[in-house]
Amino acid sequence: MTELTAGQGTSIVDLLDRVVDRGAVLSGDAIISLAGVDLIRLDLRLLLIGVDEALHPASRGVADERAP
Amino acid sequence: MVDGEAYGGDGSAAGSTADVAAKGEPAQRSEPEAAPVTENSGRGLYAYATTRSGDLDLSRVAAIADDRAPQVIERGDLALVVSEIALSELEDVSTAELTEDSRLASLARQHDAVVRATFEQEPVLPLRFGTVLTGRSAALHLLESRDREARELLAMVDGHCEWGVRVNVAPGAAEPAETHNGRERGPTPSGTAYLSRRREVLKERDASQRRRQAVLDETHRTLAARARDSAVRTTSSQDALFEAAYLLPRTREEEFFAEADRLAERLTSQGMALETTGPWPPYSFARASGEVADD
Repeated sequence: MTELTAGQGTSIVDLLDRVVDRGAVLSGDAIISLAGVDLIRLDLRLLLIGVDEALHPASRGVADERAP
Repeated sequence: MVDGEAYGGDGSAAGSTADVAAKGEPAQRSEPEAAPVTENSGRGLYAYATTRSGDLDLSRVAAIADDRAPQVIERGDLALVVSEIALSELEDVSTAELTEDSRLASLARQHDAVVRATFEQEPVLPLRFGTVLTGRSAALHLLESRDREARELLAMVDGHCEWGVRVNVAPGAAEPAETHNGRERGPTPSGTAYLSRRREVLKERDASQRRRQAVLDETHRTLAARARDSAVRTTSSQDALFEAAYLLPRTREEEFFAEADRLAERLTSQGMALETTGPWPPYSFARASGEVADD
Protein backbone atom coordinates (compact mmCIF):
# COMPACT_ATOMS: atom_id res chain seq x y z
CA MET A 1 0.00 0.00 0.00
CA THR A 2 1.58 3.25 -1.08
CA GLU A 3 1.32 6.00 1.40
CA LEU A 4 1.20 9.36 -0.23
CA THR A 5 2.74 11.75 2.18
CA ALA A 6 2.63 15.45 2.57
CA GLY A 7 5.03 17.55 0.54
CA GLN A 8 8.71 17.39 1.36
CA GLY A 9 9.79 19.27 4.40
CA THR A 10 6.31 19.61 5.81
CA SER A 11 6.68 19.81 9.54
CA ILE A 12 4.33 17.97 11.79
CA VAL A 13 3.21 21.28 13.23
CA ASP A 14 2.20 22.63 9.85
CA LEU A 15 0.48 19.37 9.04
CA LEU A 16 -1.54 19.33 12.26
CA ASP A 17 -2.36 22.97 11.84
CA ARG A 18 -4.03 22.15 8.53
CA VAL A 19 -5.51 18.74 9.23
CA VAL A 20 -6.70 19.16 12.81
CA ASP A 21 -7.43 22.83 12.89
CA ARG A 22 -8.95 23.60 9.49
CA GLY A 23 -11.32 21.93 7.11
CA ALA A 24 -15.09 22.05 7.12
CA VAL A 25 -16.71 21.51 10.49
CA LEU A 26 -19.92 19.55 10.65
CA SER A 27 -22.31 19.19 13.50
CA GLY A 28 -25.61 17.44 14.02
CA ASP A 29 -27.16 14.20 15.15
CA ALA A 30 -25.35 12.13 12.57
CA ILE A 31 -21.93 13.28 13.70
CA ILE A 32 -20.40 11.15 16.40
CA SER A 33 -18.90 13.48 18.90
CA LEU A 34 -15.46 12.41 20.09
CA ALA A 35 -14.41 14.25 23.18
CA GLY A 36 -10.79 13.32 22.59
CA VAL A 37 -10.72 15.02 19.22
CA ASP A 38 -12.21 18.26 20.54
CA LEU A 39 -9.66 18.29 23.30
CA ILE A 40 -6.92 17.85 20.72
CA ARG A 41 -8.10 21.01 19.00
CA LEU A 42 -7.95 23.00 22.19
CA ASP A 43 -4.64 21.54 23.09
CA LEU A 44 -3.22 22.01 19.66
CA ARG A 45 -3.73 25.76 19.74
CA LEU A 46 -1.68 25.94 22.91
CA LEU A 47 0.83 23.54 21.53
CA LEU A 48 1.36 25.43 18.30
CA ILE A 49 2.06 28.58 20.24
CA GLY A 50 4.56 26.70 22.36
CA VAL A 51 6.35 25.15 19.40
CA ASP A 52 6.48 28.45 17.61
CA GLU A 53 8.11 30.08 20.58
CA ALA A 54 10.57 27.24 20.91
CA LEU A 55 11.56 27.69 17.28
CA HIS A 56 11.91 31.46 17.47
CA PRO A 57 12.99 32.37 20.96
CA ALA A 58 14.95 35.39 19.73
CA SER A 59 12.36 38.05 20.26
CA ARG A 60 10.90 36.71 23.43
CA GLY A 61 11.34 38.39 26.77
CA VAL A 62 12.97 41.49 25.39
CA ALA A 63 15.18 43.02 28.05
CA ASP A 64 13.67 46.41 27.42
CA GLU A 65 11.02 45.84 30.06
CA ARG A 66 13.61 45.82 32.81
CA ALA A 67 13.49 48.30 35.60
CA PRO A 68 16.33 50.83 35.59
CA MET B 1 -5.58 -3.97 12.91
CA VAL B 2 -9.27 -3.22 12.64
CA ASP B 3 -11.63 -6.12 12.59
CA GLY B 4 -12.51 -6.83 9.00
CA GLU B 5 -16.14 -7.62 9.76
CA ALA B 6 -16.89 -4.02 10.39
CA TYR B 7 -20.59 -3.99 10.99
CA GLY B 8 -21.61 -7.57 11.36
CA GLY B 9 -19.11 -8.52 13.99
CA ASP B 10 -20.47 -6.42 16.80
CA GLY B 11 -23.07 -8.01 18.98
CA SER B 12 -23.84 -5.22 21.38
CA ALA B 13 -26.93 -4.07 19.55
CA ALA B 14 -28.27 -7.56 19.05
CA GLY B 15 -31.27 -8.95 20.84
CA SER B 16 -33.98 -9.76 18.37
CA THR B 17 -34.11 -13.17 16.79
CA ALA B 18 -33.67 -11.54 13.39
CA ASP B 19 -30.31 -10.19 14.46
CA VAL B 20 -29.21 -13.52 15.75
CA ALA B 21 -30.27 -15.25 12.56
CA ALA B 22 -28.42 -12.73 10.43
CA LYS B 23 -25.25 -13.32 12.35
CA GLY B 24 -25.20 -16.96 11.42
CA GLU B 25 -24.18 -15.97 7.92
CA PRO B 26 -20.71 -14.94 7.00
CA ALA B 27 -20.35 -11.18 7.26
CA GLN B 28 -19.92 -9.48 3.95
CA ARG B 29 -16.97 -7.27 3.39
CA SER B 30 -16.99 -4.02 1.52
CA GLU B 31 -20.71 -3.62 1.91
CA PRO B 32 -21.10 -1.11 4.69
CA GLU B 33 -24.63 -0.40 3.52
CA ALA B 34 -25.65 -3.86 4.62
CA ALA B 35 -26.20 -2.72 8.19
CA PRO B 36 -26.36 0.76 9.60
CA VAL B 37 -23.96 1.68 12.33
CA THR B 38 -25.67 2.17 15.62
CA GLU B 39 -24.51 4.41 18.41
CA ASN B 40 -23.48 1.59 20.64
CA SER B 41 -21.69 -0.44 18.01
CA GLY B 42 -18.51 1.45 18.78
CA ARG B 43 -17.93 2.01 15.10
CA GLY B 44 -18.55 4.82 12.71
CA LEU B 45 -17.82 6.12 9.27
CA TYR B 46 -14.79 8.38 9.23
CA ALA B 47 -15.29 11.12 6.63
CA TYR B 48 -12.33 12.80 4.91
CA ALA B 49 -13.62 15.07 2.22
CA THR B 50 -16.40 15.96 -0.15
CA THR B 51 -15.51 15.61 -3.79
CA ARG B 52 -17.04 15.01 -7.21
CA SER B 53 -18.25 11.58 -8.07
CA GLY B 54 -16.53 9.89 -10.94
CA ASP B 55 -13.73 7.43 -11.39
CA LEU B 56 -11.93 8.13 -8.17
CA ASP B 57 -9.26 5.50 -7.58
CA LEU B 58 -8.20 5.33 -3.96
CA SER B 59 -6.91 1.78 -4.08
CA ARG B 60 -3.33 2.88 -3.46
CA VAL B 61 -3.90 4.72 -0.22
CA ALA B 62 -4.68 3.29 3.21
CA ALA B 63 -7.62 4.51 5.24
CA ILE B 64 -7.08 6.01 8.67
CA ALA B 65 -6.29 3.36 11.28
CA ASP B 66 -6.86 0.67 8.66
CA ASP B 67 -4.98 -1.20 5.97
CA ARG B 68 -7.76 -1.17 3.47
CA ALA B 69 -8.51 1.52 0.94
CA PRO B 70 -11.08 4.20 1.72
CA GLN B 71 -14.53 3.99 0.15
CA VAL B 72 -16.43 6.51 -1.89
CA ILE B 73 -20.12 7.12 -1.28
CA GLU B 74 -21.76 8.85 -4.21
CA ARG B 75 -24.96 10.80 -4.51
CA GLY B 76 -25.57 12.39 -7.88
CA ASP B 77 -22.41 14.18 -8.91
CA LEU B 78 -21.12 14.60 -5.37
CA ALA B 79 -19.18 12.06 -3.36
CA LEU B 80 -17.91 11.61 0.16
CA VAL B 81 -14.65 9.80 0.87
CA VAL B 82 -15.06 7.64 3.97
CA SER B 83 -13.80 4.57 5.78
CA GLU B 84 -15.05 2.47 8.63
CA ILE B 85 -13.43 3.11 11.95
CA ALA B 86 -13.58 1.80 15.49
CA LEU B 87 -14.26 4.85 17.64
CA SER B 88 -11.70 3.64 20.12
CA GLU B 89 -9.03 4.49 17.52
CA LEU B 90 -9.76 8.16 18.07
CA GLU B 91 -10.09 8.10 21.81
CA ASP B 92 -7.34 9.38 24.01
CA VAL B 93 -5.22 10.66 21.19
CA SER B 94 -2.90 12.94 23.00
CA THR B 95 -0.85 15.95 22.05
CA ALA B 96 1.35 15.49 25.09
CA GLU B 97 4.23 13.97 23.17
CA LEU B 98 4.07 15.43 19.76
CA THR B 99 6.78 13.78 17.76
CA GLU B 100 6.91 12.73 14.13
CA ASP B 101 5.92 9.21 15.11
CA SER B 102 3.34 10.02 17.79
CA ARG B 103 -0.12 8.59 17.37
CA LEU B 104 -1.72 11.93 16.52
CA ALA B 105 0.96 12.66 13.93
CA SER B 106 0.44 9.29 12.33
CA LEU B 107 -3.36 9.64 12.23
CA ALA B 108 -3.08 13.15 10.83
CA ARG B 109 -0.71 11.91 8.15
CA GLN B 110 -3.11 9.15 7.19
CA HIS B 111 -5.98 11.63 7.00
CA ASP B 112 -3.87 13.94 4.86
CA ALA B 113 -2.76 11.08 2.60
CA VAL B 114 -6.38 10.19 1.77
CA VAL B 115 -7.32 13.83 1.20
CA ARG B 116 -4.27 14.24 -1.05
CA ALA B 117 -4.93 11.09 -3.03
CA THR B 118 -8.40 12.45 -3.74
CA PHE B 119 -7.06 15.94 -4.41
CA GLU B 120 -4.72 14.56 -7.08
CA GLN B 121 -7.71 13.34 -9.04
CA GLU B 122 -10.63 15.62 -8.25
CA PRO B 123 -11.27 18.88 -6.44
CA VAL B 124 -11.81 18.32 -2.71
CA LEU B 125 -13.36 20.04 0.28
CA PRO B 126 -11.53 18.52 3.24
CA LEU B 127 -13.40 17.89 6.45
CA ARG B 128 -11.78 18.55 9.76
CA PHE B 129 -9.83 15.72 11.36
CA GLY B 130 -12.03 13.49 13.48
CA THR B 131 -15.30 13.86 11.60
CA VAL B 132 -17.14 10.59 12.15
CA LEU B 133 -20.63 9.89 10.83
CA THR B 134 -23.09 7.38 12.22
CA GLY B 135 -23.26 5.52 8.94
CA ARG B 136 -23.99 5.44 5.26
CA SER B 137 -27.38 7.10 5.47
CA ALA B 138 -25.79 10.00 7.34
CA ALA B 139 -23.23 10.29 4.54
CA LEU B 140 -26.00 10.45 1.95
CA HIS B 141 -27.85 13.05 4.03
CA LEU B 142 -24.71 15.07 4.30
CA LEU B 143 -24.23 15.08 0.54
CA GLU B 144 -27.87 16.03 0.08
CA SER B 145 -27.88 18.83 2.63
CA ARG B 146 -24.65 20.39 1.42
CA ASP B 147 -25.38 19.83 -2.24
CA ARG B 148 -25.55 23.38 -3.49
CA GLU B 149 -22.87 24.78 -1.28
CA ALA B 150 -20.52 21.90 -2.03
CA ARG B 151 -20.90 22.37 -5.77
CA GLU B 152 -20.11 26.06 -5.51
CA LEU B 153 -17.09 25.49 -3.34
CA LEU B 154 -15.84 22.63 -5.49
CA ALA B 155 -16.11 24.84 -8.55
CA MET B 156 -14.07 27.47 -6.73
CA VAL B 157 -11.24 25.17 -5.61
CA ASP B 158 -11.09 23.20 -8.87
CA GLY B 159 -7.62 23.59 -10.39
CA HIS B 160 -6.32 25.38 -7.31
CA CYS B 161 -3.86 24.62 -4.52
CA GLU B 162 -3.53 26.16 -1.13
CA TRP B 163 -0.24 27.76 -0.08
CA GLY B 164 0.49 28.96 3.41
CA VAL B 165 2.48 32.12 4.07
CA ARG B 166 3.86 33.02 7.46
CA VAL B 167 5.92 35.99 8.48
CA ASN B 168 8.01 35.69 11.61
CA VAL B 169 10.38 37.95 13.40
CA ALA B 170 13.68 36.98 11.80
CA PRO B 171 15.72 34.74 14.10
CA GLY B 172 18.25 36.91 15.86
CA ALA B 173 16.73 40.14 14.58
CA ALA B 174 16.80 42.79 17.25
CA GLU B 175 13.92 45.14 17.69
CA PRO B 176 15.32 48.38 16.26
CA ALA B 177 14.47 50.13 19.52
CA GLU B 178 16.62 47.77 21.53
CA THR B 179 19.83 49.24 20.24
CA HIS B 180 18.97 52.40 22.10
CA ASN B 181 18.22 50.63 25.27
CA GLY B 182 20.28 51.97 28.12
CA ARG B 183 21.57 48.68 29.28
CA GLU B 184 25.04 48.62 27.80
CA ARG B 185 25.90 52.18 28.56
CA GLY B 186 27.87 52.82 31.66
CA PRO B 187 26.27 54.05 34.85
CA THR B 188 22.54 53.90 35.48
CA PRO B 189 21.00 57.18 34.31
CA SER B 190 19.07 59.46 36.62
CA GLY B 191 15.30 58.99 36.95
CA THR B 192 14.48 61.89 34.62
CA ALA B 193 17.03 60.87 32.03
CA TYR B 194 15.75 57.31 32.17
CA LEU B 195 12.16 58.36 31.65
CA SER B 196 12.97 60.58 28.75
CA ARG B 197 15.11 57.91 27.13
CA ARG B 198 12.36 55.42 27.76
CA ARG B 199 9.84 57.65 26.00
CA GLU B 200 12.19 57.90 23.07
CA VAL B 201 12.56 54.15 22.93
CA LEU B 202 8.82 53.62 22.99
CA LYS B 203 8.27 56.22 20.30
CA GLU B 204 10.84 54.60 18.09
CA ARG B 205 9.34 51.24 18.73
CA ASP B 206 5.91 52.49 17.70
CA ALA B 207 7.34 53.88 14.51
CA SER B 208 9.12 50.66 13.75
CA GLN B 209 5.98 48.66 14.42
CA ARG B 210 4.05 50.88 12.06
CA ARG B 211 6.68 50.38 9.38
CA ARG B 212 6.50 46.64 9.87
CA GLN B 213 2.73 46.65 9.77
CA ALA B 214 2.79 48.62 6.52
CA VAL B 215 5.04 46.00 4.91
CA LEU B 216 2.85 43.21 6.24
CA ASP B 217 -0.27 44.87 4.86
CA GLU B 218 1.39 45.28 1.51
CA THR B 219 2.52 41.67 1.57
CA HIS B 220 -1.01 40.44 2.05
CA ARG B 221 -2.52 42.86 -0.47
CA THR B 222 -0.02 41.88 -3.13
CA LEU B 223 -0.32 38.13 -2.59
CA ALA B 224 -4.10 38.22 -2.26
CA ALA B 225 -4.35 40.03 -5.59
CA ARG B 226 -2.78 36.97 -7.23
CA ALA B 227 -4.97 34.45 -5.44
CA ARG B 228 -8.50 33.33 -6.04
CA ASP B 229 -9.19 33.65 -2.34
CA SER B 230 -7.32 34.15 0.90
CA ALA B 231 -7.80 33.40 4.57
CA VAL B 232 -5.91 35.42 7.12
CA ARG B 233 -5.24 33.72 10.38
CA THR B 234 -5.23 35.56 13.64
CA THR B 235 -1.66 34.87 14.57
CA SER B 236 -0.96 31.93 16.78
CA SER B 237 1.97 33.39 18.62
CA GLN B 238 3.68 36.65 19.33
CA ASP B 239 6.44 35.76 16.91
CA ALA B 240 4.28 34.87 13.96
CA LEU B 241 3.46 38.38 12.85
CA PHE B 242 1.27 37.32 10.00
CA GLU B 243 -0.20 34.08 8.77
CA ALA B 244 -2.47 33.48 5.82
CA ALA B 245 -3.50 30.86 3.32
CA TYR B 246 -3.91 31.62 -0.38
CA LEU B 247 -5.92 29.68 -2.90
CA LEU B 248 -3.87 29.74 -6.07
CA PRO B 249 -4.68 28.68 -9.59
CA ARG B 250 -2.02 26.08 -10.43
CA THR B 251 -1.17 28.06 -13.52
CA ARG B 252 -0.25 31.13 -11.49
CA GLU B 253 2.00 29.64 -8.86
CA GLU B 254 5.24 30.89 -10.43
CA GLU B 255 3.97 34.41 -10.57
CA PHE B 256 2.93 34.18 -6.94
CA PHE B 257 6.34 32.95 -5.86
CA ALA B 258 8.16 35.62 -7.81
CA GLU B 259 6.08 38.14 -5.92
CA ALA B 260 6.65 36.40 -2.60
CA ASP B 261 10.43 36.50 -3.19
CA ARG B 262 10.31 40.21 -3.88
CA LEU B 263 8.27 40.79 -0.73
CA ALA B 264 10.57 38.55 1.29
CA GLU B 265 13.43 40.94 0.56
CA ARG B 266 11.52 43.90 1.88
CA LEU B 267 10.47 41.93 4.94
CA THR B 268 14.05 40.88 5.60
CA SER B 269 15.14 44.50 5.56
CA GLN B 270 12.64 45.09 8.37
CA GLY B 271 13.90 42.18 10.47
CA MET B 272 11.21 39.74 9.37
CA ALA B 273 11.30 36.43 7.56
CA LEU B 274 8.75 35.01 5.14
CA GLU B 275 8.05 31.27 4.97
CA THR B 276 5.79 29.37 2.64
CA THR B 277 4.26 25.92 3.07
CA GLY B 278 2.48 23.87 0.48
CA PRO B 279 1.08 22.92 -1.85
CA TRP B 280 -1.88 21.83 0.27
CA PRO B 281 -5.30 20.58 -0.62
CA PRO B 282 -7.63 23.51 0.11
CA TYR B 283 -7.92 22.85 3.86
CA SER B 284 -8.54 26.52 4.59
CA PHE B 285 -11.15 26.99 1.88
CA ALA B 286 -13.63 24.23 2.63
CA ARG B 287 -14.88 26.62 5.19
CA ALA B 288 -18.62 26.21 5.27
CA SER B 289 -19.81 24.56 8.41
CA GLY B 290 -23.01 22.62 8.32
CA GLU B 291 -25.52 20.58 10.17
CA VAL B 292 -26.13 16.99 9.29
CA ALA B 293 -29.20 15.31 10.60
CA ASP B 294 -29.73 11.59 10.50
CA ASP B 295 -33.33 11.31 9.25
